[in-house]
Amino acid sequence: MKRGRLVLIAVALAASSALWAVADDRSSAEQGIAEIEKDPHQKELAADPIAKAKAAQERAKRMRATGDEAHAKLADGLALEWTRVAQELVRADGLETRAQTARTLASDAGAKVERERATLEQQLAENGRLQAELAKVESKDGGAK
Amino acid sequence: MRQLVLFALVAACSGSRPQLPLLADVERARAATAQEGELAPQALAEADAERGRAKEVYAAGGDDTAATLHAERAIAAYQLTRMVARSARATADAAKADAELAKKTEELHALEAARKTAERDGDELAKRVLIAREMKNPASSGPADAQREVARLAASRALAMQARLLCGAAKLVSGAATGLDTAMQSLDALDKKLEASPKTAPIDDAARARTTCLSILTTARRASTASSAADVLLSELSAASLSPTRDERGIVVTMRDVFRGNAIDAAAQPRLEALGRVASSHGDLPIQVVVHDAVAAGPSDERAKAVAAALVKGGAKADKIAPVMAGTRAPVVDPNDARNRQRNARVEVVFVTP
Repeated sequence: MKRGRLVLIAVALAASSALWAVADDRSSAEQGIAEIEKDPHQKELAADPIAKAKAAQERAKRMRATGDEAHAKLADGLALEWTRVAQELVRADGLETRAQTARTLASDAGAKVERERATLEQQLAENGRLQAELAKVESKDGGAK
Repeated sequence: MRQLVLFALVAACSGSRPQLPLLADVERARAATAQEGELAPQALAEADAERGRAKEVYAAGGDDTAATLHAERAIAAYQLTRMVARSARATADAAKADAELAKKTEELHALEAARKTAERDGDELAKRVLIAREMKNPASSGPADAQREVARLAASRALAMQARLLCGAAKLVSGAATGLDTAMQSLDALDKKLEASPKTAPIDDAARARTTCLSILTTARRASTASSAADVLLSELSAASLSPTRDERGIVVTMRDVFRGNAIDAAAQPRLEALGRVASSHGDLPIQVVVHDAVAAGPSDERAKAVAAALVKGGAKADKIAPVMAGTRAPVVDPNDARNRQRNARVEVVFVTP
């Protein structure tokens, strides 16, 4: 009797845990999609995986309506996977933009370095000319008119 | 559609189950992702696991819908692997660009510092060339009429005063500057000559004295190890609305209406103290305080000392200040112009830059 109750509790726990996991996949996908769709740029960027995620959500809904909970759960998982693809696509795009900005800044800094080097070389050449002129003026008869 | 018909035909004609068409897509997705997996091994492992589940469920038979859903999820997981790899590549690219930017920035700062040093050296060399030319070929003024000699005498006094201020600045930069003692002795002799108001003005001697003192100051600066934050000082003085300018001695702040009698006028005191506050953050720079008069007021240096005291009250170091009474010897407008000569009354606070 005692054992039977324990089994029942275990089954109830497993069922609630499974339900929780399904609900979790479903709500995670819904949340993820909503988050991306808030931003027009992200929405446009991730249109394809978001469409696939929504199609999978629709399938899950239909399966659940016919009482096919097991397959609905798999379809929820599929929707979540496409949502993750969309999220990662947005992340990759952001990182690529940041990398591009960093490359542009590095390139600009490189150009500044070259300009500064050219200015320095010009100044050093001018100093050399002045040094030579000074030596000439300071020599015994160099500066004589 | 044709694929599905073919699949049904093969299934009907053979005893063993043919491969689920979607599994071929999974394999293609796997092949296309293999290389990306190096950058995203965990994502690839998860995709492979899903692929395994699709195959397993299909092989077990009976639930093609579950097998299809697993296969579709595996395809999505391979797509995710590619995205994770893309993010990893972008992160590495950004880190590489950041490192390049840091390297270039460091290089730029080093070059800027070298350029500033080279420009300073250039300025100094240009001055030395001018001085050397002047010393080599001093201009000879030749005789002039009496009226011109009077003007030359005034110019000689101004040149002698400028020479004294330049030599004074050189002394502040380095008390042991080469040639300083001799130059000061020559200046004393020149001043004596000028006091006697000679008929022929010693204009060439005065010009030479100025050149000599400028040369000594330039040499003293070359030997000095003190660092100059002149640009910073200039900005700070400008920010304090003290209208600084530069001359051969360094950075000059000129103030007017400073005195009431021999004491500092109440209105000028805050300005002088503000100047002292700026000076306090450049404590190593020597300061020359020069009092110029519009009309002769005697040689007492009481007013120059009063200015120095106001600067010290603001925070300047007393031992870095050298008061000088220039009197009427270095006017900026004609002292005979009664309307404007008051402009000659001024105080110059000179931060002598090393």
